[in-house]
Amino acid sequence: MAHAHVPASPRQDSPTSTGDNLPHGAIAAVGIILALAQAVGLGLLVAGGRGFDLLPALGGGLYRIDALGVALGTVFALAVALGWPRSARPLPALLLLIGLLHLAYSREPLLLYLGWEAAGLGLLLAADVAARRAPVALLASGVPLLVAWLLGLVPALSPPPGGDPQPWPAAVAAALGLVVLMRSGVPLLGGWLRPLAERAPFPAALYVLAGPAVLARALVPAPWDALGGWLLALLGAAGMVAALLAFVWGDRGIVGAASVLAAGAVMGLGLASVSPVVAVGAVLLMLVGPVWLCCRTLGRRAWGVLLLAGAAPGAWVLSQGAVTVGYEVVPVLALGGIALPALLLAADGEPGRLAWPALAAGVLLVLVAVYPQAAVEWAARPAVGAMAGGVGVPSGLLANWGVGLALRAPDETLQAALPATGIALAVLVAWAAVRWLKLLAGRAAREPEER
Amino acid sequence: MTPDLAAFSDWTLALLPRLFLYPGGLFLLASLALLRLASGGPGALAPRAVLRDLAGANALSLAVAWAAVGLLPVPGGTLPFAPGPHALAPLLALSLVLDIRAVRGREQALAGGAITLVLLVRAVGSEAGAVVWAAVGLAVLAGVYALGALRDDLAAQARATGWVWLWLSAGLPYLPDGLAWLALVVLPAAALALGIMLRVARGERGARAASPAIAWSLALPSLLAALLLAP
Repeated sequence: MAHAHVPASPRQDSPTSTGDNLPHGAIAAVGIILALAQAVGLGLLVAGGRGFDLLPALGGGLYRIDALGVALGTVFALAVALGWPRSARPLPALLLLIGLLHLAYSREPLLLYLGWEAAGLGLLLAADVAARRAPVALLASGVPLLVAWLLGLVPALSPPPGGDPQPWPAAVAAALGLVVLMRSGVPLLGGWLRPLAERAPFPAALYVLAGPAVLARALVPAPWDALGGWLLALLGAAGMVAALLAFVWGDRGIVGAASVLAAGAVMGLGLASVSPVVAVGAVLLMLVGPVWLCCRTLGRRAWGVLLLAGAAPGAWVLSQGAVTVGYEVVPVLALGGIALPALLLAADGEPGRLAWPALAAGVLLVLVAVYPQAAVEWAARPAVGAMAGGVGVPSGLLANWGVGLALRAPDETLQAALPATGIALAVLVAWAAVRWLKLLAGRAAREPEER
Repeated sequence: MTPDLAAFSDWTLALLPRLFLYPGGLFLLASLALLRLASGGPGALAPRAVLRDLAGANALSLAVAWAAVGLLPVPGGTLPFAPGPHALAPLLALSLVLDIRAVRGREQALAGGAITLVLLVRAVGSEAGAVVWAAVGLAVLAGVYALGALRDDLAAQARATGWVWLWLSAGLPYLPDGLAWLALVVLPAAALALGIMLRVARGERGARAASPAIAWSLALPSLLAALLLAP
C-alpha cells in the first residue's frame, strides 16, 4: 500500500509564521501553574538536600521528589507554557508535558520509560505524521533501555540506602547513552526525528533537550564506572561534533541547535562521576536549553545572542571541571559548540516579533548570563546534590555573589574564574561611554554642515 | 562590608584603570589609531572619518569588544577573579554575534567561529609549547584576515585587536619579559601589523585569499597538534 504523501507544512520555527509568536492560552496557564507549583511548593520541600519518595509501591515510591526533579520539571513546564505555539493542538502538549515530568520525577525505571514514550507520543501527535517510520523508529530507539530493565540491570532511581553504590555496568551506561543520542536528533542515530522536526519543530526540540534527563536521573542511585563514563563522554563528544557539522552544512533549525546542546549535556554527564563540577555545568546546560527554545520568535540574531550568553556559564563550568580531570578538548567542544551555532544563527538575519513569552524567556537567560551565581547555587548545585549516589560534592566551584564564579584548586588557589557580573559591569560602563562618544561624534559631524 | 560586596568593590576598583587606561581605553585607542593608519592611510585618522565611523558603530558590540580587551590577561595591574581565555574568547565571539551583518554573514560567522575555537585550543596548548602557540596564531590571523576583507568598521577593528592580543597573551612565556616591552613594543607592533594585514585583505588581490576555509584548515590541525603534543 503506498504511503499517503504528507505535504510539508510551512516552516514552523520561523517567527513570522502566523500565531507562532504567541503561546497557546490554556497550555500557558497550565504550564505556568505547574512551574510555579514545583518551584515554590516542591522547592521548599526539597531545600537543603532533602528528598522523598511519592506514592509508595513496589517496595519504594513510584516517584522521587528531589532537587533534580524539581529543577528539571520546573523548566520543562515553563518551556511548554512559553513555547507551545498557539496554532498547535493542546492534547499533544499535555502528553508531552506529562511525559517530561515523568522523566524528571520517576523513581521506577519502567515508569520513566513509559513517561518517555508518552512524551514521544505527544511529539508524534503534534507532528501529525502519517508515515509509519517515525513511530516505529521511536519505539525501536527505546528498546535498549527496555531490555536493560527486563534483564534487571536498571535499579530504582533513588539514592542508595547505604554503603558504596555499585557502579552502572559499562554496557548499560553505553546503552543509555545510545538511547539518549538516538532521541537527540544527532546525525546517523537520530535521523528519524527529521520529518517530525519539520512539522513540529518546537515539540521536537523540547523532546531532544529532555533526553539527557534520563542520564541525570541514572546518576541518583549510582555512578558510572570508569569505562562507562568514558564511553558516555565519547558518545556525547562524537554526537556534538556530528550535530555541529549538520548544523553548519544543513538546516539551521531549532532541532539542530537543540541536538548540539543535548549532546553536550550527554558529554558532561558522562564525566560527572569523575568531576562533580562537570555535573553542575551539564545540569546548567539542561536547564537553560528548554528556556532558550522559547526565545526563537525574537529573531535569529537575538536568538543567537541568547544562546551564547545564556549557555556560556554552563559550558564554562563544564569545561573547567573537565580540564581539572585532564579532558583538555572539552572546552573546545563545549564553548566552541555554542559559539559557532550562535554565530550562524545571527548570520541568518531573519527578523522576529516581540512577544511576552519570548521576552520573559530572554530575560531569564540574560539573568543567567550576568548572574550565573544564582542559577548555580539555587538550581544546579542542589540538583547535583540529589545525584549523590553517582556524583560527588562540587566543592571546587565557588560562587562569589558580588563578582561571579570561580574554580578553586585543592590548595585553595584560584584556578579559573568567570566574573560574569563583573564582565557585565565592564560592558555596561563601556557601553555608556561609547553611547556618549557617539552622541558627541554625531553632533560634531552635524555642526560643520549646519555652518 | 560582606566578603562578596568587598570582592565586587575590589573588582570595580581594579577594572576601571584597565577599562579606561591600559589595556583598554586610551591604550586601545592609540593602538586602533596605529591600525587605522596602517590599514587606511592618514585619511583614516582624519577627524571626519573617525567621527563618521564612531557615529555608525554598533555601540553594544563595540562595548563588548572594548570590555574584553580591558580584561585581557596581560601584565600590568592585578585583577581579582581575572577571566581567562575560556571566558574572553566567547566574549569576543559575542561581540561579533551582536554585530554580524546579513551580507556574507555566513562567511563572517565561520571565520569568527574558527577564531573562537582556536583561541580555546590555545588554552589547551599552552603547556604544549611554542609550536602549538604559533600554529594557533596562524589560524587566528587567517580568520582575522578573512573577516578583514568583509568588515572595516570600528567594532570589527576592536575585535580583531582583541583576538590577536588574546592570542599574544598566551605566548607571554615565549616572549621577552617586561611590561614596558609588552606595552610599548609588542602590542602596538601587533596592531600595526594587523592594520597592514587588513589593508592587504581589502585589496583586490588580497580579497581572493580571504576565506574562512583557510582559517578552518589551520584551526583543525592546531587542535590536533595541541592534543598530540600535550603532556
